[in-house]
Amino acid sequence: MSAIACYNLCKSFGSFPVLKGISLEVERGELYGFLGPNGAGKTTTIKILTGLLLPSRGRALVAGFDVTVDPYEVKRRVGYVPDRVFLYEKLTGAEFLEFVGHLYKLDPRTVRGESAELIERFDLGDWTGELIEAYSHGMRQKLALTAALLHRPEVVVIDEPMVGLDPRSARRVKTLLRELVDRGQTVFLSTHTLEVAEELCSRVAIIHRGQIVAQGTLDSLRREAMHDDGSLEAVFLRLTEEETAVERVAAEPVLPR
Amino acid sequence: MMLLYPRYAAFRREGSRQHVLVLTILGLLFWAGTYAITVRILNHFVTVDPDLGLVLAAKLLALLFLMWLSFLGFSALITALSQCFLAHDLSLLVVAPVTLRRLFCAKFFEVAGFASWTAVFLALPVWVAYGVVFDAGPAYYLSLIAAVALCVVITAAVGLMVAVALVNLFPARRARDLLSLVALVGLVGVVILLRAVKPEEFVRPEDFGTWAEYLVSLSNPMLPWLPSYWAARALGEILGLYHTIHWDAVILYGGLLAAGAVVSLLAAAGVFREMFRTGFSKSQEAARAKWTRQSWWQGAVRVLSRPFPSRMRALIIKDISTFFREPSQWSQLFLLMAVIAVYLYNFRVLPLDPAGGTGYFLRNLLAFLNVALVGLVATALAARFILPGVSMEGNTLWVLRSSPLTVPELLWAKFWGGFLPLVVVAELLVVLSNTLLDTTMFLGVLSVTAILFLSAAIVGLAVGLGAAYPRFDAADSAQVATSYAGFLFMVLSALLVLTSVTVLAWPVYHSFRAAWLGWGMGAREWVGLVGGMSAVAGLSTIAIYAAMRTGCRRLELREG
Repeated sequence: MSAIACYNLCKSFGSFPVLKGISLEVERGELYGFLGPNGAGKTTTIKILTGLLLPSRGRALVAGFDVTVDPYEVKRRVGYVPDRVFLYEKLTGAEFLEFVGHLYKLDPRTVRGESAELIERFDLGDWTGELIEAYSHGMRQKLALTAALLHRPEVVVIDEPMVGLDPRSARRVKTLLRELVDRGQTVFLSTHTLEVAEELCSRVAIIHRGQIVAQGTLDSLRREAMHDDGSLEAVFLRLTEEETAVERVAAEPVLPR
Repeated sequence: MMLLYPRYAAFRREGSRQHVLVLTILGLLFWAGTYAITVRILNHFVTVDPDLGLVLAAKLLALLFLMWLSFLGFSALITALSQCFLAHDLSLLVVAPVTLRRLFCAKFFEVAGFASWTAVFLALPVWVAYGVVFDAGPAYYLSLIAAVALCVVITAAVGLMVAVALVNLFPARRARDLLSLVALVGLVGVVILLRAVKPEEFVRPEDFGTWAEYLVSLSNPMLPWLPSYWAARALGEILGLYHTIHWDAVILYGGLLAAGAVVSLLAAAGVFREMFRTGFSKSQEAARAKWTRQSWWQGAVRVLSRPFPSRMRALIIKDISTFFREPSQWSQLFLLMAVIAVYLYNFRVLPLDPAGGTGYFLRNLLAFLNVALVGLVATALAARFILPGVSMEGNTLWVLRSSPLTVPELLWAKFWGGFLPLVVVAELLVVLSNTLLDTTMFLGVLSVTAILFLSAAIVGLAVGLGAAYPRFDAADSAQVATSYAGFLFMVLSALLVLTSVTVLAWPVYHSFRAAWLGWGMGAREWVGLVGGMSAVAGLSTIAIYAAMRTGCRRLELREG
């Protein structure tokens, strides 16, 4: 059974279609990259997968549960870090982690145990007693990631994980994501930082104007883009060129329901 | 002046033709009304008794200037804090190669302009009415412009100076937090200042021993060390309110105003130059939330929230911590305490016969009507503190929506977090006013029980409607209270309170009748009480169920 499966997923805001029939599958224990230019529909897809938005059409299964039918079963198994991390300004970092732990019915001891190593790894130790309003953007990002992992989610969904992180923190996040996958957890990572996807992901999907224009391993994408020795950037630019994208979408088979 | 251009451009863009038309019509109506009332009052003064009329007109002018200056000063302080430490353009201006002198000039003009235009707009018809009634020449109007301009300069300069000093004096406290505290303290200050003047004495000459004492009292200068008195005195002299024009007094008070303006401007420039940079830096620091992190506090909150299930408990603890760490929220509690004190004091000073007879019925009737009053007070408190609960989750709603927390769990947590404090305040009001009124046991039981049900219904309505029509974009909870949800809540809650009191009127009437006839409380009266109370309980249950259900459904369907 796949960790994530989307079948012809559509989403419109009013009359404006944002997703136009997305189909993809992410295997368990996979680090999957979701790439696309600004406004392509990455965040909308992620919000559907985490139960923040309802699809207009199509189906999305996460950890074996339908996001529309069993949203709470999905939420129990997913850890989510959004692209813009808004946290409770008037709570301290430690209080925020305890609060999130309670939302997942974890006792404070478990929260402390689960978070201790991550707090240490992200250099947040001196800050957990301070109000979050004093945190920098990068610190909030790291705190949100720590909170998302407290309940050991089967699927971790991260939107733009490296934005605002210093190089050392970015490196630590990358190592952490690899460790999660090694432990059998699935990571669905949305980014437009192509180096991150190139370095971490076993497979990627490229979304453009609400449609998947390519998905597979980096090698398969290179072949499809006829850039055999090109970087992911070259492949990305080639696949998101207007004419190429249109041709590819027309030829793309939809996964069976 | 260049630094003010972005504000001018934004102002021009924002004003649509319809807005301008509506505002102009409303403004003209306000001016016409104020002008007509002032002319009528002043004409009444001088026609009834010309001598006393002039004294009263002079006193009224001084009082109006005092109120005007208080409003102006308060407004200048708030504007200065906001423009110097919270404005969005600051991050750009402070890093730009702009000298402190230019920055001071820009901020001074901003504060003077933003703080004074409303105050001048409101007072203009009054000043013109004085000129018309006392047949003033151009000297009055020119002096008026000069006096108003000098008062604006003084208040803007003092406001800037105090704002910069305050931010420096309160280290590690964010300017936004300071703003709400200053607003509250300023408001209380204005009220105390006006109380110190005792304006009610002007219309109660019978309180004075002789007519001469009254006249002397009226003629005494009102807070002569304030610029408001200098302006009022100089203008009063020119208007002939002191019989003959004493030009030496005009020059003296006009000179004091001008000197005051120059001195305050120089002082403000000096304080700004010396303290702005350190103040700006400090205003960016975060608060440390000292006492809400003490173990005794956290222990108390944990004990209080223990009866609730894990997720609801976490939400209640989070809401309590957030409330007491946000000065704009907890500072409202002072206002709440003041309301309670004034409320109870009014009952204490009511001229009711303590003995039997009509006093007995009046006291018990008041105690019964007090149920409605407390219900309405609870409605106002719920609109301010409970209704915005869901909206205030705002940008952080993703934390809750992406977790397994269900919408009913969220709303019931908001319900219990709001109900417990509200019912304590409402019951306190009822029990204390009943004690002060010395009511019967029957009314005591009735009012305490009714308020228990009504408080629950009011909180249910507030939480449900707040969730059904949230304003996640609201900057603060006051905006939510005045939104569509706030309006709907106030109307429905007031209807519920008034309907409940109407339902209870029947058993109360029969209990009064029984007491009047000396029958005492019989079975019929107790049955009436139980029946009425059951009806109120039923109404409250329906209100809670309908509102919470609507809130849950609408919030569940809401995306984002």
